[in-house]
Amino acid sequence: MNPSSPRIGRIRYLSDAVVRGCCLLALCLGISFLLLMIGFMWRESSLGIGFGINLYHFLVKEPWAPLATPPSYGIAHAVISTLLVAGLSLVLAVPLGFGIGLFTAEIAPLPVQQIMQPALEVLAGIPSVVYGFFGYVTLVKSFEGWFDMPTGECLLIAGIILAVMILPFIASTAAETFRSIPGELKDAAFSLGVTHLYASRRIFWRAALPGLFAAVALGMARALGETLAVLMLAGNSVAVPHSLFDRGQPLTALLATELGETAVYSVKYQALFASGFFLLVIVLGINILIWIMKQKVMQHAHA
Amino acid sequence: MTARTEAIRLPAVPNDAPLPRSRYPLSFDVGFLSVSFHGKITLKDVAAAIPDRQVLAVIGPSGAGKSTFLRVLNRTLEIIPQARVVRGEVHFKGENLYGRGVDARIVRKRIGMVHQKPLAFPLSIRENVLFGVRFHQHWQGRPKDEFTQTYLERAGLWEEVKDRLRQPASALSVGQLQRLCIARALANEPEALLMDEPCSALDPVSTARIEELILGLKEQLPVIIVTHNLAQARRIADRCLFLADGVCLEQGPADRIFTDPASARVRDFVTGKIG
Amino acid sequence: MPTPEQTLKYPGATMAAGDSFRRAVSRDRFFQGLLWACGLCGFLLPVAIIAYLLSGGIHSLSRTFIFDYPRGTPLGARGGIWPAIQGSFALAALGLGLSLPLALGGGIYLAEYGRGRAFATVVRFLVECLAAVPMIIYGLFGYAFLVVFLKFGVSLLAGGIVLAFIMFPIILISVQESLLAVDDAYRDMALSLGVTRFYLFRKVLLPQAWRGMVAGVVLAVGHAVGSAAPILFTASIYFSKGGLDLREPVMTLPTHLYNLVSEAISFDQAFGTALVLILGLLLFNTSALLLRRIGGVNSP
Repeated sequence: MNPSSPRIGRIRYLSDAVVRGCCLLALCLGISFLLLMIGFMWRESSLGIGFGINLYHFLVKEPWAPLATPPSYGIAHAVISTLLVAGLSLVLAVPLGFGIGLFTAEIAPLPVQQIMQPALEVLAGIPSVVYGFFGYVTLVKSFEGWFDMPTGECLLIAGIILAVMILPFIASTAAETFRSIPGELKDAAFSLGVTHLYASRRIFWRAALPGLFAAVALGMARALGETLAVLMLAGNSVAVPHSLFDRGQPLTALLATELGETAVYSVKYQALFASGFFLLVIVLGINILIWIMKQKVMQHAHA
Repeated sequence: MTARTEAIRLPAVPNDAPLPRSRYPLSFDVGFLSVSFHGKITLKDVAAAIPDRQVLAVIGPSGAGKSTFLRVLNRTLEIIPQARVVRGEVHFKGENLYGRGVDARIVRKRIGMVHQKPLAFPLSIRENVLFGVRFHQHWQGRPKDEFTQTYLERAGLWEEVKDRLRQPASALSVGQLQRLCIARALANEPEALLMDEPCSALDPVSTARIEELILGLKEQLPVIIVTHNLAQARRIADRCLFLADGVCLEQGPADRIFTDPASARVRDFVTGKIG
Repeated sequence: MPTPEQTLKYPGATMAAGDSFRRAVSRDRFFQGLLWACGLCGFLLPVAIIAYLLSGGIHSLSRTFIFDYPRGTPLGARGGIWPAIQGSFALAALGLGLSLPLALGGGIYLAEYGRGRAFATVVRFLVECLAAVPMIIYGLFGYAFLVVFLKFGVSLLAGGIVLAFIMFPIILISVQESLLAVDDAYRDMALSLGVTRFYLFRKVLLPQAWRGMVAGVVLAVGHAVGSAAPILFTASIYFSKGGLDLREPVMTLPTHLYNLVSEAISFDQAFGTALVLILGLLLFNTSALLLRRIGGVNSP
């Protein structure tokens, strides 16, 4: 430190403390968002006080009939629709996503790898509403023609489009996982003269397991949270769906449809916020799981 | 005269002329081998003549390209992206390893490799040993248990693990793991064995056991071992090949290399003057 | 007797099971073929979607379309989408203006001042949770808190704040990652000369990390601009002639597209809107990609 300018030095160090303080403040403000959000949802749903319907009835038994007498606010139809749509999308996207991930990480030559990454990013960047539009003008219209349905909207189409939406996330997480398999393991296996398929199915899949779980969980979390695409494609019917060809109303679509027609602080309002809170908790829970899995993948890579 | 000029001055043929004097025929015959890694040449015009049933120690300073040389011999260089054999030929028992239509996987079966860091597959001990065997299916009617026992015995591990063959291999100690890796490699019934610093991660007792193993193995197949440990090379090698900066400076019988090498740099290295 | 060449190609007398090797190789080839098919799918899907939107919507793009406001009966069947473009821009700008300083400060703190402490790990985890919250929940929360509780009403202000909430975690994470990607050696060298952390940041870290940070900002904005769910109840209106007022709701591109489709107003206009939205986002994302490439630092 230059002894001839102690005051400048002290100002400099003080300003550093100020900057540090500002940054910390910014951070804390940001964190409070999350807590504010959770707290507010809880408050609005009055779940703490209880709004007269117990959880089991809410989730499983009651139909959604706010205009009936007496009005009932069960979300069973939404829960089932969500499970069907998310389930279908996972069934379609997980195998394809793993295949793309393995392809990109192991088999693709370098120039091909370099095209795959932007391709997946483009897929991930298309907004939900555009996917809904795309699905509407292609599949819905086609279904009306092929299957002679009065309206082509159904859970099947919503599931297919949702699968395309979650595909890039599953694929890139899977690719990351396969890349993190230690090179020494590959050396040890291939030095024995075995094929890729043999080594993959006997050894590599085990090393990749936590990361692959994380990929599936990520896909599931995204599938549960998507709104506009399923809103435009699933049909918005409050009846409990019995098959994929039925119209349904996943939870996010229910919230989007009903909020506009709800009086503030009414029972329906509270029911909607309770559903929202429920969804929030589930998605956060899945993300905690993913976080834990990702820590495991990091451990593998450094071991 | 500096070592560098010396290296450039050497002709691109083995130092012994014309062929190594040995009872046994040539196993490996390498000529004009050049390897590039990310576009940079890491091995330049390496030539080697390796007789059968002998131990060849590949020695030299760090980063000289010794592991790369080994990888060329069993065609695992191509696993590394951006690594290529730029020119040269490798013949094993008269057959061109890089010839047209040759499947690298068959080469890897016939020429086994043991790596520096012992790594157990996430399988039982028995399944580790049988990993390559189940693929190549060369048991020729012998039951798999007998197969496992034979090769675990040859690797000197049988007594210690015979009661827990079905347990995960990850529970073994480092020294045991390396012997398991050797058993795994031998179970493929290779015709040559390459070893990349197999003892560098081990304690002296395990090292001694493996050196004993190598001396036993050499009676059946050529063993090529990369080692940093000059004392080890002195103990087990029949021939030596000295690599520095990607170039072969000298090769020949081990006792000659260690007592009276032709190259000054090699002499400095083996007498410990430079590392 | 197999020739010397043959013994390496096909297992010869030394090996018993030549057939099994050949079967294993053809199974492996089939497997690799399957993987190539997957890769092809992954590449063709985005190409096909963009191409379809282009083919359906390119004829709708015209000066009128971009700069006029919606007309016709029903409203929106003809005319343009300028108010929606205005609204989207305004929301993005407002959201960015609110979230950028907070996310920048937070990211700098996590990367420089708070590194290694438990607090930083917990906070980073909370931020990642924020990033994972579904859009509709942001919408619900925005409605209850901003529109109703704070009485902002359905307005540009409420929408901007909600978008700021959405952008905050994305920008923060990318700022932190870009800073962490800069080699620690630079920090050691500078700090051992006795300079403050802020000076170090300004002169050494920022020049290397800014490209990654800008890329993160661009991606966050793209993410927020394309989302309709949070805006539906906090800022959007079906029709406006343009003009922006903080207390008034606005049209936006995604909500306009939704409206056109759900009310079956005009599919031609919908194609055009979708195309404008997609091309705008693609432009955004491409610039982020180019920045990363030119940058050379391994930024996320």
